[in-house]
Amino acid sequence: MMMVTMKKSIFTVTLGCLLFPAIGISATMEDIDQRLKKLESDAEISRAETDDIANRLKYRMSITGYADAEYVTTNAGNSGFRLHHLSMFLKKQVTDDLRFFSEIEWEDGPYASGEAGGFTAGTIFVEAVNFDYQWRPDTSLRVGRFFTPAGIWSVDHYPPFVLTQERPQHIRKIFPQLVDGAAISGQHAAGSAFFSYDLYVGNGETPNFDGHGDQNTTKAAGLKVNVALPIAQQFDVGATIYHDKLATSADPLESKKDAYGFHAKIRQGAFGVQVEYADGKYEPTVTPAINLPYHKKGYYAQFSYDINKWTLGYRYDFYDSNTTSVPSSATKINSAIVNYHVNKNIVMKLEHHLVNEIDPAQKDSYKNIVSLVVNLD
Amino acid sequence: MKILIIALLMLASMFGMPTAFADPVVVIVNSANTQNISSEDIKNIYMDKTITWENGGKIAAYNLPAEEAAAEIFARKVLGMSASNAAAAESNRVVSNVARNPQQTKRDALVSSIVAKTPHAIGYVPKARAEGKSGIRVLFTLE
Repeated sequence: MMMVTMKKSIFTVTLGCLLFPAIGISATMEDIDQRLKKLESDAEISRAETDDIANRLKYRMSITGYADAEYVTTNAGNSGFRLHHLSMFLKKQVTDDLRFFSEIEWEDGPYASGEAGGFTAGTIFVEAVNFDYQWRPDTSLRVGRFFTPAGIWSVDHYPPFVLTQERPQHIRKIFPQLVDGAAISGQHAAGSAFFSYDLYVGNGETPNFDGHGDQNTTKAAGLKVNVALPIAQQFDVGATIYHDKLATSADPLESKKDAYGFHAKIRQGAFGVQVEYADGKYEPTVTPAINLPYHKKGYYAQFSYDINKWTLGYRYDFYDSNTTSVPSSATKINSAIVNYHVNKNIVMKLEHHLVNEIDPAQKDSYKNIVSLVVNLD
Repeated sequence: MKILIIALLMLASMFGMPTAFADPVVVIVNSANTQNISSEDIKNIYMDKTITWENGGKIAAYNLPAEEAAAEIFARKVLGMSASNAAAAESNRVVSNVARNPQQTKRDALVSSIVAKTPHAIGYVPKARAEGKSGIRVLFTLE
């Protein structure tokens, strides 16, 4: 009985399909059409939401940074672990043309306690707070606190991207570490070369990086120029000049300071060279002069060679804090360097620095540093 | 035989040969971009020296993750450095706050689609990703 009923049903459906095929196809096409429209609508909503998220992310404050830990051995003091840097970058693309950048650094694991009323060794330092306005594609304006555009290491100094944890001796001692002021920067093509410049004016050097006004009436000013030549894979050469009259608290002699320097960075294949030279002339401005003019002078040459994830390096580094000093105040350091790049954000470093005092009365020393550096991007 | 091939492949991967069997890489721009672009121009774009096209449009440069074979081929052939070093150089520019035109890193499927949709974009992808794709112009093939 059941078999007969089933056969009848199949027969009826088959007959219906044969007699009225258009109704079946039409219904199917309508269904597909509706589904397509719904898919299109869903895709449009998805795209709009993705664009919205991308747009919000573009203009949202981002937090990145870097951190490192070291083990230091030396014959000039105690060996031990060092919690060298924890740096946090707060950045925001405010509008298409305006961006904000800041860096807050905790150095040597500082500790502050209200109850103890004390602050242990270490540094909490607002190293950068600035706004960049992209005035034209080739020109931007910067205002706030920024690293002094001088030579190479003054700006390109972040531990995840430099060969050593120890900076060359003259860095920050001739050209100051920071500028509180304003700068105009640009880059222009000149044939197949590129010319760039940074022209800036600021409050000048202060002993504690006082961000509250100027300590004297003279503004510091400087200019860095760089030419990138199409000679090797990278061939940058440039120069820096800087002028300031130091505030009394920065230098009791009220010195007028004029500094200049040269730099070069060359890379071809796995081989890299980085060279900087700087000379600062300090002249007393008080009368009668209570000190003779003197110079601070420093230079280094650093060579590197990449082998897969390894970078091998050597640096010769010279610095004299007073070229008129007798006996000599100069020091030279020979450094051997090994870096292992785990990936683009993690590097392990081994560096050996042999410190040689020019004055024979001074004792030579060495420093070895093993470090793990992580870019928290 | 299968075991031998698998063993050879594993051996190759252990010794870090990402480019040995990698597909060619193509450098692509949007098809509306008719500018003559040399390999030196591409290098200058990815080294953050050139940030606009000749028509004034701001370049949107796209990278692949440094771990991808295509990124290694592009970095070695065009920039003259490893993909890891190129990524570190870009990170350094961004961290040091001197990047004039920060680049973006996306997966290859997205790069080809974004370049096809964005008139001022430039990117590089494995050749297979670009084949038959409308809206893009291939500038160079890097083997």
